[in-house]
Parts: sequence; C-alpha cells; structure tokens
Amino acid sequence: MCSINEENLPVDTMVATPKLLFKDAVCRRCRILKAQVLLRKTDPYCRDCFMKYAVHKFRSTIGKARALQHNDRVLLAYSGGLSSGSMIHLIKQGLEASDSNKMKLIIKPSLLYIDEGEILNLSKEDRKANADFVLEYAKRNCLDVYMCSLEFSLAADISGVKLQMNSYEVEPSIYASQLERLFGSVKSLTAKEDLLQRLKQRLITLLATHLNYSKVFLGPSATRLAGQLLSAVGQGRGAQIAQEIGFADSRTGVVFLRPMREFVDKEVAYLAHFLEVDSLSLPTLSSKLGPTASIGRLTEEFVVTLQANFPATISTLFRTSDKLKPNVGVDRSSSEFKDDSRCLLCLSAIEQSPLCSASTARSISQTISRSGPSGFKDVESEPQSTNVQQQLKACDANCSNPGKQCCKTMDVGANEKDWGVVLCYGCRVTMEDVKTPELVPINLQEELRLRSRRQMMRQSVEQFLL
Amino acid sequence: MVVQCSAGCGCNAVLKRPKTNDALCKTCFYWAFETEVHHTIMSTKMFQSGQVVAIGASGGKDSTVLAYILKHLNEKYNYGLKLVLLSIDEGITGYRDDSLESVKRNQEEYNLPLTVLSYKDLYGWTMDDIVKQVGRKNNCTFCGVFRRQALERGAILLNCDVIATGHNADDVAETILMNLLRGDIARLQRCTSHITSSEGSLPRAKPFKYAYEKEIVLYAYFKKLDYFATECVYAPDAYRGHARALVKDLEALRSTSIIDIIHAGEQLAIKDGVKLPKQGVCSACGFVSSNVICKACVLLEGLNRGRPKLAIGKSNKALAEILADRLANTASLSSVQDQF
Repeated sequence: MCSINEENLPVDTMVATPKLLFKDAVCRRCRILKAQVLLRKTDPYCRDCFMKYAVHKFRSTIGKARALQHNDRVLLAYSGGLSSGSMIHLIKQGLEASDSNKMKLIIKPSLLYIDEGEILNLSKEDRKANADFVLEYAKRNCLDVYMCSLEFSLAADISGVKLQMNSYEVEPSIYASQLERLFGSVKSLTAKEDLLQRLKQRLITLLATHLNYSKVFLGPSATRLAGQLLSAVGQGRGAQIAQEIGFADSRTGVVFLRPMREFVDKEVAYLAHFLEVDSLSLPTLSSKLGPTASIGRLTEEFVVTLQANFPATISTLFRTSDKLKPNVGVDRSSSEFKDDSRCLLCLSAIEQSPLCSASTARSISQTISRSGPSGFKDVESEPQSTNVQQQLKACDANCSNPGKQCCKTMDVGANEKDWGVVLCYGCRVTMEDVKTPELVPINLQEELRLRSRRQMMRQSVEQFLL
Repeated sequence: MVVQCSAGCGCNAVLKRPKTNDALCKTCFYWAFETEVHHTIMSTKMFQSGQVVAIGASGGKDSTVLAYILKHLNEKYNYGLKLVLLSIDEGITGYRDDSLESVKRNQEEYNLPLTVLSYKDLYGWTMDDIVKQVGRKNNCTFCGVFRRQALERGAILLNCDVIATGHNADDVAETILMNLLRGDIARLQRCTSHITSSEGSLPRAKPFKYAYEKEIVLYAYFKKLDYFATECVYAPDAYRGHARALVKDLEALRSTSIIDIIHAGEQLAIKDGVKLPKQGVCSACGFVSSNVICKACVLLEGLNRGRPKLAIGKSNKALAEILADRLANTASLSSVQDQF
C-alpha cells in the first residue's frame, strides 16, 4: 500500500525556497546599506540592522516571558562556546545600556563554568588551560566566575562539592574515579549523553541553591534545542518537551532559562563574529564519532540538514512545541505538585501507564519474549475489566516479574526492573543501559523501597481516603 | 553456534526479535506476535462482538498480515466478528492492478468476501488521469485524501461498523515526527490514538499500532504469506521520506526507539487555550471535514474545473473561491450533491 496514509498537504514548511542571488542586495530593513548577512535564505541585512534585530530578539525572548525581576541574581552558565559567549556579551550590553529608554537590564549576574574534562578524557593540562580561558574571559567582562568539576555531581549534598571562585585547580577526588566508572559502565552513547545532562542539571541546581541564585541562564541555540526536541521524542520524553525545550524549566527548585533559544546557529555565528566573541573549541562525548553515534547526534544532524533545505524547519518545531503543555505536578508553586510521584533523576512527573499504552506494550513485549507461553498468564483469559482490582490482576500477568512481585504490589526486594515507581519513562530507558546504577548519586534502591511501601499503604487504605 | 529460544521452550532460536533483540524460535515468535496484537485489541476494546469489520486491504504486507491474523484471532478467541476485505483501486497501472491480484489470492486463501471500489467509480478520475493533469509532484495529496474517504464510503456501502487498517508502529512513529515537523498540532494529538472516531464517521482501528514493521515482515516471511511488495510508481512524498529515514536511523541505534517515540507521542498534551480546528461534516458530501467543504470535494472540484492545482497548498483560498461561486449560484450546490 502507498505509504502516505493521511492527507499530506504541502504546507509552507515543505516547500524548498528557490535559489536566489543576493550578491549586491541592500539591507531589507534600512534599504540603504549593502547587506552583509543573509538570513533564512531570503532576508539580507546590513551589520547594524542585523545587530538591532538580534538584540531586539534577545530582549523580547526574556521580556515576553516576564521571568526576570529587578536585581535578580542570575547565574550565567558558560561553556566557553559561541552561543553562551554571545549570550553573555548581549547581557553585558544590556547592563551597560543607558537607563533613559528602558533598555537597561537590571540584574546581578555571575558566571558558572562546569568542567566536564573528566568524562571527555582530557588531560589535566588541557582542563587547566580551558579553565584559564574561562577565567580570563570573566576577568575581561568584569564578572565573577564560579568553577566546579562535573564529578561533584555525584556528591550526596553540597558539603561534598568543591566550588572555586575566580580560580581553578584540578584536584583529585573520590568522585572523579566514581564518575569514570559510572560512564564506563554505560552501554550506549545515547544513554551517556542523557546521563550527562541529568548530572549537570543536578550539579547546577546544587550550586545555585547553595549560592542563593534562583535563576540560571543556559545558552543552547535554537538549532541545538530543535535537535534536542527530536532526541527527547526519540527517547520517550514526550511529556517533558515543554520543560526541556521551552524558555523556562522549573522542575528543580531553581529556574533554568534559555534566552538564546530563538537564534539558529547561523545567527549565533554572525552575532559572535560582530561582537568579537572568543570561544573555546571543546570536544563533546560524540566528537569524532560520526552522525549516527547517538540519538542526540543523529537528530541534530537531521535538523541541520533539513534546515538547510527547508529554512522554516526549526521555527515550525518550536511553534509546535510551544503549544504543548508542561507536564503537571512538577512546578513547585503549583497546587498539583507532588514530590513522591516525580522521577528521581530528571525531576519530571512519572507518567501513568494505562493498560493500553506504548509503555505497557513495551513491557509486555519484553515479558512475552523472555518468559514464553508457559510463563505468561493470558490477559484475555480474564474478562475485560476497568476496575482497579482487575487491572491489578492484568498487571500481575503483564508485569516484568510475574509470580513473585508485581510492579504494582511489590514490597521489599524490589529489583531494577521495577523502576517505574521512581523513574520516568525516559530515565528508565536510559538506566536500562547503565550497568552500575549504584553509582548514580541518588539511592534508587532505597527510594524504590520507600515509595513502594508507601504505595502499598495507600492502596490498602484507599477506600477510606476522601 | 546454535542459540536457544529465550522464551525457554527448549527449541533452537531462528530469529532475533527486532523489538526486543531476544532470540526466539518460530513457534514462540508467532505466539508472541499474535498475543501482543490480541492484547492491543482487547485492552482497547477495539471491536465488539457481532460487529462487521472492514479490513482495508491493499495487497501489501501490513494488510495481508492483518487479514490473516484477524481471521486467526477471531476464530481462536471467539471475537464474534464478521470480517470483510475492502480494497480501493486508485487506478495506477503497474502498481495497483498487480497488488489487487495479490488481494484476490488472499481472498480465496482466507475465504473472506472482497469488495473492490475504484476512484473511477467514486470520483470519475483514475490516479493515472489525475497525474496527467497535475504532474508527479502533488499527486500524493489527491491519492491520500481520496483514499481516506473511499475506504469510508466502501465500508458504509458494506454495512460495516468499523474499519481496520494495517498501520504499524513504524507508521505511527513516522507520523508523530512528521506532524511535529510540519507543526500540525491537531493531527499530532489524533495520530496516536488506537481507534479514531468522530461524529458521523466510522471508527478506524489500528490493531498493529504497537507492532514493528520488521516483525510484520518476519511473520509474513515465516508463515509464507503472499503479499505484493513494490513502491508506488509515482514518486513518494519527499517530506514524509525524511521522517521515515529518521525513524529507521533511530531504530538502528536503539531498537526500542519506535515504541519510545509512540510513548512520547501519547504523552504530548496541548496547552489549554490553543485553538484546534473543529471537525464537522462537509456541506457537499456529508463526510467528515474540518471545513465547510471537505478537502476531497475541493480537490475534485478543482479537477473538474480544469484547475487541478486549485486546492494544493493554500486551501482556504480555494475554499473561499468555491464558496463564493456557490453563493452566486445556489443551484450548483445541488448539482454537486447529485454527483455523489
């Protein structure tokens, strides 16, 4: 049968723009100066107009969300890259602007640098050199910089973290080898990248809370985020898109903001060029590994390629994701906030899995092909049911270790298969690839036992709860 | 090296399950595949006893396996369904005529009644004629829109209660990505449901929603089911091709990706206050439409007026034009209705 199963109507996004020549074009905004840059394949701009456009876009991204208040203390996460570097330049401009036309940005920023050298196998000298670049950059911009190493994300709390200010020494710690072992035990690069993101989020939250910053600016560009959006979908994180891609993420107690989210890489490059932003070229986990090394890498390549042919790709993806609801129960200020139904790793709400859903289908497939007809109680030998009792029975048949303890009713002795109680779907997918879950900084086993016991209690008194 | 079946039946494994990477023997694979489809059907209460189910049969792998397995499960578990095969002849020489042969062989083999409806009968145009008018670039729009409605018309004609289609997990994942990429928020919401129904139209069920395309092929291969496997002779839709390639690449990286994408799709919730197009019925033909006049009628009108490109792309403009004409001459409305 033809593969086109629904109406496939050509929308603007699917029509590749015709090739036009802009060699001697004038700026489309001022219509006087010769254009220096070409955006979206069709819009030529001169330098000044481009900068006005960029500054306006940056300010409106921050402004329309009404996320900042006067004199807010803001941590600017700086990686040494072009995007976060440009972000800091734009903020500096805002700080130095005159007060007259309300263009002045009134916040109290400091920089934060997380050294990922340990998992990237960089030498001590390289790590020191990178840190020196960041220190020099901060000094030139007259900002304080906090420096910390990724391995401290494994510390139980802030007391175990070595945080340095305006200086940096790579020092050996017990966490360094622990981090190396943890990452060494991860089967896939996709899971490594996901774990890195979670650990970084955890460390930044720890630091920001300790230093009394309630807001953190992150610098990923639109291109980067569009890739992350598809990568999130590819890893089952549908419910979290609004937080992972949107402007504000308030899953942890600290609010993460992404003011560069409306700049595609090309715009960032022009911006960095005109602002004379220096950058470090840092390797990543997928460096030198080709476009199919991980899901994240694959989706980013996909977005970049598609964007080159269809310049509306990224903006369409954003338009779609901005219409999605942030998942409920993760906002601390909301009335629906529930701490014990959140994922311990990424702090998102744990999804419900109804009898007919992809997550149930996934676990059924695993049970079925591992236990065979003899180990599988036929779901359908029982009548179709909607009430809880029967659903539990069905669950008993479908659950990953039938016979012993069901994922819904188990108590102590819970094993890794039952992580549905403590981890969201996406984190479960990642943890399937982690061979040494005991090295993850959260005591998953203990939490699992606690939560399961609590669930049991709730179930037994359910009929008395109003 | 001989690998034992991971289901513990003691037999030697003959295949690696694409969905879970487990090694299984033939019998355990059949059982696993059938049990999963059965679970999808039961847990969603997809069909009720006594219903007549139209199986959209194209002769391709998905619908061939669907017909086989529905017949098998219907007998094994006593669903109490009456199954009929429904084929749509788009009128594509060298593609549909060959695949219809394969449907006819299925009909004899499975002993299910078959009805073939053609675009020519329903709309007065074959796809070959349409391609002559619009060229190869946008013809998939016509075919997709017409087929959707044609299945519905056929099923109503045969007094069916529900239409079952062979859409598999790969198709669903692809559609989710596709709708994300084209910003179609309404379809993004709809495309993950296992059964879609709206006022005035027959419900459509996807029993293979969680079945991997590769497993469907494996099933057909080992069961030696006869199906037709050729791409349509007219160029496939380029943009969907991108989404398809991405799904295949993701699957190669991590076999559970397809089901993970569907999970992500199921979890997408639209913000309150986002406007969605309302589904109603077409004022000309009475079938489901999100506009006053449905896409099929607009496309058809364009063809009949000798302006086939009328409704491609800027749909609203064409609609406005047609509506204006209608107002000027109300008699034309009834004449359009007469056509159907």
